[in-house]
Formats: sequence, C-alpha cells, structure tokens
Amino acid sequence: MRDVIFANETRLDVDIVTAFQRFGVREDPDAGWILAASAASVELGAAVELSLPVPDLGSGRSHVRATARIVELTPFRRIVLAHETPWTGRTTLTFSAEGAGTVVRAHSELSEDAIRWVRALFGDTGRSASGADADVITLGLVTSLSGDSGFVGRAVVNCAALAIGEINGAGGLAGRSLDLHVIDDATDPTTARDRVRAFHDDHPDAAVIGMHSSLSLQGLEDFLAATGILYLYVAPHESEQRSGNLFRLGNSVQAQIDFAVPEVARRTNARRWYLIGNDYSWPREISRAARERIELAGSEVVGETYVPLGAGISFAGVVDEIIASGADAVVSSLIGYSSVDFEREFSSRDARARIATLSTLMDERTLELLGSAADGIWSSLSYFSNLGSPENLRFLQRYNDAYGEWSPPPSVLSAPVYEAVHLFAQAARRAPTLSADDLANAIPGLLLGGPRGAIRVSSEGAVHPPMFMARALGGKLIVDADADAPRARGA
Amino acid sequence: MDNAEDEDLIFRGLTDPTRRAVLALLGRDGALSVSEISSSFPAVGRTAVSAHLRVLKAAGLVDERREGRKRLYSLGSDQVSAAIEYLRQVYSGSLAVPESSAPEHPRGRGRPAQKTTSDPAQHGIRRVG
Repeated sequence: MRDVIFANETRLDVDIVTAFQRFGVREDPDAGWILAASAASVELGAAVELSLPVPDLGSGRSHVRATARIVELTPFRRIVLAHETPWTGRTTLTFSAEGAGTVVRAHSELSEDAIRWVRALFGDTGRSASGADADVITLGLVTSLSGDSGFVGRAVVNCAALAIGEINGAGGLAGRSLDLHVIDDATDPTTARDRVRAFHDDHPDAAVIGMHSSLSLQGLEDFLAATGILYLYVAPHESEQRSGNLFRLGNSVQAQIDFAVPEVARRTNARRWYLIGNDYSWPREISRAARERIELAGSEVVGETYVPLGAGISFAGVVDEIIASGADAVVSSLIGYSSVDFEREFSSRDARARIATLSTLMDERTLELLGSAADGIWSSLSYFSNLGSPENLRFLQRYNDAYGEWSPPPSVLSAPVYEAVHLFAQAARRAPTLSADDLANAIPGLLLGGPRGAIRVSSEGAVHPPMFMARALGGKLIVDADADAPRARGA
Repeated sequence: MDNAEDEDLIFRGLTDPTRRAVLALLGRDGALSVSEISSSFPAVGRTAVSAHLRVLKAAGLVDERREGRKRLYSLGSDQVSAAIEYLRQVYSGSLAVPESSAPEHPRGRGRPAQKTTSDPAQHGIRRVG
C-alpha cells in the first residue's frame, strides 16, 4: 500500500475568522481558493465540490470537478476533507493567525487509487503480470468517477464493495473470493469501451456490472455483443430488452414516465410543459414518452432543449427561454453536473415557485450538491434512501457500519449495484460453470434482493421495480405519502 | 522528475487528444513502431505522429528502444513517478487563487499575499503496511 503526501501553505492578509469563512463559498470569486472548494453548507458531513487545477483531461477544460466531504470540523482552526471522487484520500486544512494575517496549511494524503487513476489517464491500465489467480473470481464494475456524472461513483464503489464483503465474509463462492476491479468510464463512451476492452483482455472470463450513462452503454454494445461478456447494467434505461448476455436491470423510461408525469400533473395542475435533457438516447426517450403522456392528457409541450454531456455550459439562456415560454412545468432528463448546474440556475432565478420541475434522475447524491436549491423538485425513481422498509433499513445499517456516518449517500444510482453483486453470486452458485453463457442462463427467475425489497428477474431477463414519488424538501428527498405509490408495474 | 520543467512536460504530453490516443494504443498493444502507430491514425500522418512521440518521450510517458533498424515505443517504465508528479502539480496549485478571479479584484481583497509554496522536502512517497 502506497500513500502520497503533499503539503503546502499560503498566507492571507485577512484575520483568521475571515479566512475561515471564505472556505466553500460559491458566490465569491475570491473565495474558492482552497481547492476551489464549494459547499452548500460548511458543516460536518457536508458534501464539497472541488475544482482541481488539472490541465486538460480530454474535455478541454483546465479543471476537473472532484468531490469530497467534511469529516472533521473545528471552526476557525481546522477542516478535514475526505476525497470521494475521482480518487480517495484526505486533505487537512489548518488556519493559524500570524501577525495581522492568517497562514493556511494544506496537508494531503492520497490513497493508492489516486495513482491508479492518473496511470489510467496515461494509457496504463495497470495490468498485472501475475496472471489469473485460481482462488479469486474477478468482477468488473464500470461507473463514473470523473466527467459529468463523476460525483456518483464513490457510492457505487461502496455499494459493490459492501456486497462483496458480505459474500466473501460468508465463505465466498465455492471457496473462491470475489475481487472487485473498478473502471472509471469518465462519463465518456470511448473511454468506457477502451477501458472495458483492456479489462476483458486481462480477465476474459470476468463478468461486469455497469452503473453509468446509457451513452457509455451504447459505446460498449458492439463489444459486448462480440465478446459475450456477462454484463449487468443497473442504471435506469430506455430499453427493456435483454441482448444476449447484457441484462438491463434498472427501471425503464416507459414505466417511470407513465407513472411520474400524470402524478406531477395531478398535484400541480400543470398544462404547459417544457422538456430539457442531455443530448443522447436516454433523455430523448424520456422526452418522447413524456410528450406522449402530456398530449394524451390534452396538455401541450411548449419547448424542448438538449445539451451535450460534459459541456459545462451556462444554463442562463435556457432558463430565460423556459420562463419566456410560459411553461408551468419542466421535465428534466439532465444528468450529473448538467442537472446540478441547471437546477442551481433555475433556483437562483426564483423560477421554482411558478414552474414545477420533474427531474427524472434526481437522487440523494445529486440532491446533496444542490442543497436547498433543489427544494420543490419532484423525483420519481425505484429507490429513495428514506424508504422505511425493513430491507432498506437493514441495508442502510450495513452501509453506515462499513463507511461511517459521513459517507456519500446510497441512492438509485448506487444501491442497485449492491443487489446486482448479490444477483451475480446467486447465479454463480446455481450455474454449472462460471462461463458467461451459463451465468446468463441462470439469471432469469432469480430474485434481485436488497434495499428495494425482492424484485424477480422475468423469464425474458427484465425487471419491473416499483416506482415511488418523492419531493425535495430541506435538502432531502421525502417519499410522498400522498402518492398512489408504490405502484408495481408489468410482470 | 523533480523540477517544474518536467511537470510541464507531463502536462504538455497530455494536452493533445492524439497524444492521449497514442498512450491508449500503447497501453493496449505494448511496443509498436512509428509506422504501426501511424497506421492507427491515418488522418494525422507519420511526421506528426513522430512529433507527438518526441513530446511523450520527453515527458517520460513513453520509452523508446531500438530493435534492429526499428525504433519501438512503449508506455514509460516509470509511470508511477509520472503519476506522482502529476498529482503533486494538482495539489501544489490547490491553495492558489483561481486565475479568472484575480483580475476582477485588483486590490486583492484577501487574496493570498504570496505565491503558494510547495517545499519538495515536504512531499514524497510513504510506504505503509
């Protein structure tokens, strides 16, 4: 195990109270200087966004958005940040009064995954010369630790590692232990394909779990079809089909929209809708399904906009257009930082009171970056972390035991990964061999069990999780008791 | 790799999409000649590929060796050092004022009074466990 340690300091011409209060303030252009940190609030457990001065990671920008969390806090003296994405580690900031000014010292200890992440950027997949270990079953996990959806990845890795720890703790699979190999797709389909290909070269028999955008899945589809890798894709998706050994185990667009749009219309009496999303197939399918529902109810779509993933654009003009359109509701299928940036802009214009928002991927992790800027947003998903079911409470207890009080919250963008790892283990126990075909054949009929309860995989290899309606309030997503939910759909 | 010039070389090595693609290719396929690399980038041309390889070599991101009349290129053997230098650069800039904000506040209302320092003696690799 290798740690990398860096230390540096700077002197400010202000008193210690002023210096401390500058930490994490988003609005003040002077204030973001400590790792360009910004936080919805500076308190224990608060999520922090960092802008690391990394020259050009492929997006053409000179900063990469990273995330951390405040895990220790002594006002005016000391802040400890635990890095969450794209790598892990800790930065301790200390403030000391010296003369009329303040000296701020930063001490950073980075974990080994930081080096691995940078080496992957250098083209080095870190393949081992040791070859296959007969005592180990390698499982790949593709998710986003950087790029537009980068902030979701740490909870995804945590949920996968939690399930693997449980399986290995119970003796593994036929005496072999499961070993997780994390692949960052950088929210980019080409990166996803290159890195999954390199992983497959090293581990030709390994199955893979995917929690990433469907744009990255498109980048992988030809490769998956050609190789027959067992691939369990667990994000919400725009197609219910099983394709060979690729299973899509998230909720479908149709199920989500058929439930959510009428529910929001009923509560808000919205008649004029504006559709906004990122520019790829899943958001466009959300909009197609939403338009169908809206028009079926005799309402109308008054405008539609799509923005590229990872563009880092300003949404001021789009919000102008939405306000000018006379819309009384928005369906947003923006993801990741696109969603965060849009909702911040929308909130800053006080548009929320007049225009309802249904955000189709507003999970607990995205919400904590927005804080109260999200208040009032409607969200409809197959999982919310405040569901009171015994299965969910048990899961949350295990997650907190493993990762502590201050860790990224599990959400629909991570908790299903826990279920998928256990599904893989069930299939491995049942299949005659661990070949991709045998494992795939063992999956239909199994129960996807975990925080969402027990969801059966149909004979076609599809799942139909119940959908819930929630609303953001005080920085939390509160499952709406007034909803007819949970509403089981399909099979 | 301990001076600013070397760090700049690493960053220069990565700022170009073709250079990143060359690294990805070498990461996948091991040691390749210039013509083998060029054949993967028909739109770039052999001369430009050679120029990219020189930048990558200067940054320590690729190694070059002779085999008969051919020169073969592969990923640099000390990628760990290059990665640490990269991270060091990221963190040594971590207390800096964002460049975009500096000109808007010429009087420096609380901006750092001196350049951020990063003492080489204060950083390094520690082996744990």
